[in-house]
Amino acid sequence: MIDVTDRVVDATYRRGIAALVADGAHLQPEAGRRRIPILVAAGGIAIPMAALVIAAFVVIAGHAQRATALEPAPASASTSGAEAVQVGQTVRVTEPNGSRVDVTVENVFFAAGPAALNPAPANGLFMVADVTVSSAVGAGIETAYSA
Amino acid sequence: MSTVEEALAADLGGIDGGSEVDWAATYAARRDRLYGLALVILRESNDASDAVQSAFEKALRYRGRFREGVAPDAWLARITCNEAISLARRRRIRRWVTFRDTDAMSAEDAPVVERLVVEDALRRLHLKHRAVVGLHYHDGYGIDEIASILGIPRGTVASRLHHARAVLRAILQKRESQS
Repeated sequence: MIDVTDRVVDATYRRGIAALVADGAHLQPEAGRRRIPILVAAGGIAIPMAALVIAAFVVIAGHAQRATALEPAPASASTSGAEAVQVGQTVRVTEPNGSRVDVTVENVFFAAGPAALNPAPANGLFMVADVTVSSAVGAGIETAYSA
Repeated sequence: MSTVEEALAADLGGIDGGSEVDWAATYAARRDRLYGLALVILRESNDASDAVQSAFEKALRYRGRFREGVAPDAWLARITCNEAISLARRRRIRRWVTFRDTDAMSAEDAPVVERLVVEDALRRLHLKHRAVVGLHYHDGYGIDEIASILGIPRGTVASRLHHARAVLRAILQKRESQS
């Protein structure tokens, strides 16, 4: 085994550390400027980008779903020339043959789950209106669904 | 004047009204030396810069604890050692590689070889041993001074220095025997 004296070891440490510091000095960043850890930097970019992509996807999917749900319905007396009616208000519906009914809106609410709708609402959510229909032969509560 | 020096000057100028220690001047004068000490412990230049800045921030924050009669150099060296060791522990997940094979290098690469050999030795040393090596071989402190700076017994400093020498000696002996 070759003998390496303490003096050689000490001198190697001194020169090696001096070289290490001299080599490392040029890499020293400006004082007061700290590096951002790579993970934080990557996260800072990736997370907002991912949020943007998800938001864009949600908007596009929402538009597509709305376009599907808003297919033109067949024209009828109730949809053409519709007027805004408050809950509790009564409107008179008159058919061309002269028969007429009074329709009173009792309640309007959102509902979800199975319903006798065909086709079923795309998002599973639909609106329900409870109405009282009064005619010459009597009155009764009916429920109308609207997807 | 750097950003840190400006901050030090602005902060201390208003509060201390010209205290006994000019910290802005102290920072400018000691920064490179403390950087070298931190570099020995951390072995990475950017981390070393971070440790020195952090050490000065702490020195500024706790300057009220600085006692007259204590050498600012020693006080700052102690804070820098603690900051560097703390930073190294937080970043222990890092792995280091040596980019050049020291065994394959020629005699004319001697300074580079010495640096790489010392880097190899530092890599094998515990952080607390590196602090002793840095204070001794870089800053030139003696065993008693290092014991005072780090707040550890003199025998512990001597033991750590002995171990650091043994590690480097083993590396040098291996190289000699292979050449």
